Order: sequence, then structure tokens, then C-alpha cells
Amino acid sequence: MSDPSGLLLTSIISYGAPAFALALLLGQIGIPLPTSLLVVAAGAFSREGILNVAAAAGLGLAGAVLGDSLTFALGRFSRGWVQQHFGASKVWQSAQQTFDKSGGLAIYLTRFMVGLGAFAQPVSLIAGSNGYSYYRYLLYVIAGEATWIGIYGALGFIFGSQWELISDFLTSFGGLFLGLFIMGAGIYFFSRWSVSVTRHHVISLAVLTEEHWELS
Amino acid sequence: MTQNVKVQKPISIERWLVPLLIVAGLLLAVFFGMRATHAFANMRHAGFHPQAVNADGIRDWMTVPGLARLFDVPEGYIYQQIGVPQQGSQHSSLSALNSHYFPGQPGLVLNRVKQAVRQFQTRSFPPPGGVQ
Repeated sequence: MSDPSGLLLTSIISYGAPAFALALLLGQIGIPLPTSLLVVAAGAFSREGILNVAAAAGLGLAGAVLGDSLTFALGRFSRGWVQQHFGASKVWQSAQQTFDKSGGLAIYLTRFMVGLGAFAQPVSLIAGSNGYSYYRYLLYVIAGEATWIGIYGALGFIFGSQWELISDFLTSFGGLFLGLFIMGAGIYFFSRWSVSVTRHHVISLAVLTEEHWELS
Repeated sequence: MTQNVKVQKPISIERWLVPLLIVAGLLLAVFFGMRATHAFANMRHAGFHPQAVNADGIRDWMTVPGLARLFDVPEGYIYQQIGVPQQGSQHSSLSALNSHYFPGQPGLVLNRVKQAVRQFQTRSFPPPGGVQ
């Protein structure tokens, strides 16, 4: 266990659910903390009687949702600047429309899906700066964070004293999923790029052919 | 007339972004895939014993009150065995106690706690045939 993780776990053992909630809040505003590990550990500590299950789940959820709301507020605060700089861009407008259509799913999935947690803060910032309804955002965030705390906490509770094993597996699996996601994005962009390059070559060839005929 | 026609080049950013994404994703997938396989093998090897707590599972981020509750060992006994005063040490981890009271002797408190817990468990639940 690395030192920052150890320090957080010591704080949770010593100060209980409020320390757990504070750690989740800090994690959700973008401070790189091993929050999934903490949720699994909190589940195990609840089984061992170190934490109260209801207090840990309730305060943990409150901390995570508050952290997400702060990130959303940061996005909303920067909305004017974003609109001023990118508002006229077609790409930005298209992204806005896409987010309006399926942003809820992105908000929900990035709260708990292994490997997608890295995108939780960017999605919250985009939602805030995009003018996305806060109440809709809050609904998806509560659902997502409750799923996260429920699943990971239950795994910690079930595995009890062996929680480090399941946490290690989840962390590694999350990294594997993230790697495959990035590689998939690369392959998607490659296919788009190769179509664009082919089109470019076809147009160039057509122009050259036309010039050749005009000259001859 | 045709000399005025300009052929738009495809966006050049994708020239380096695409291979970067594929290579970075592949490296991450290989690295974490190996770690996940190793972690899964560890889980299978360990079996499923969620209630088994033994002294080998004690970590240096744990605190004495937490260990006392986990192993059902009196706090005072553990503090006595590791040679650290109980007052003011309740919220400190074993590693913090080690660096405060025994600087330059890494792992001393952790080993003493493990030993103390084992001794207490042997006394409380002597093995069949008595203590060797």
C-alpha cells in the first residue's frame, strides 16, 4: 500500500465516515486519490465493525455528490469564457448537441464504470459549461455514485479481510479497460483519417487528370 | 481555371494523435492486463476466506485501536508490547509510531505488533496439546 493510500486508510479508521466522505469529495473534484480503493476498504471496515454501514454509505454518497456538484459549478462558472472562445465553432456546437442527447448516460457511466472514472471530472466540467440542467445532472450523479458506492462497497463487505485482493484486481481491470478504450478511440480516428486521406488522394488525382487533359 | 482549385489536406493533427492513442492504449492494456491476470491468480490462490484475520494481514497504515477491535486484543496490551505510550497515539498509524519512537529502525513496530497479536491469540486459544 503506497503512502497516500495508507494515510487515507489510517484517517478513515481513526475518524470514521466523515473522513471517508471528505476523501470522496476531494477525489470527485479531481484530486488524484484512490477513491475506488477507499470505497472497497470502507465496505470491508463496515464488515469488521470499524465503520457504521449506513453512516459510511450516506456520508460517502453526500461527499461524492458534493464533489461532483463543485466540479459542475466550476464548469458553469467558466461558461462565459468557453462560449466566448469556442461558442462559434461548429465542432463545439455539434459536441453540445451530442451532450444534450446522451450526456445523462455519460454522466451516469463515468461515475462507476471501471476505467471510465478518469473521464468523470471532464464530463462534469463539460456539463457545467454546456448549460446542462443542474437538476438533471444531479439525478444522474446521485444514481451513478450510489451505484459505485453500492457495488464497490458490497464487494469490500463480501470479501472482508481479503478486500485488498479484490481492490487490486479492480484497479488493474480498470486500467486494462481504459487502455482498450483509448486504443479503440485510436482505431476509430484511424478509420476516419484513412477515409479522409483516400478522399484527398482521389480529389488530387481528379484535379491532376483534369489539368492533364486541358494541357493536352 | 483549374489552377485556382485548391485541394484541402486532411487534418495533420491526426497524423500523430492516432498512432499515439493506439500505442498508449496498447501499452496500458498490456501492462494492466498482466497486472489483472496476476491479481486474479492471487485471488484464486488465496481462496475465499472473508472472515479469516491473521497477524500476517496487519499493515503499517493500521492503528492500534483498529487492530485491537479487529483481533479482539486489549489496546493496552499492544501498546505495552510495542513499547509506545498509549496517550496521544490513538490516531497514529503503526508507521507513524515507528518513525516517531523508533527512527532508523523501519518495520520494528509492525513486527512487534504482529508478534504481540500472535502471542495473545496463542495464550487465548492454546493449540491442542498446549503451548510449545
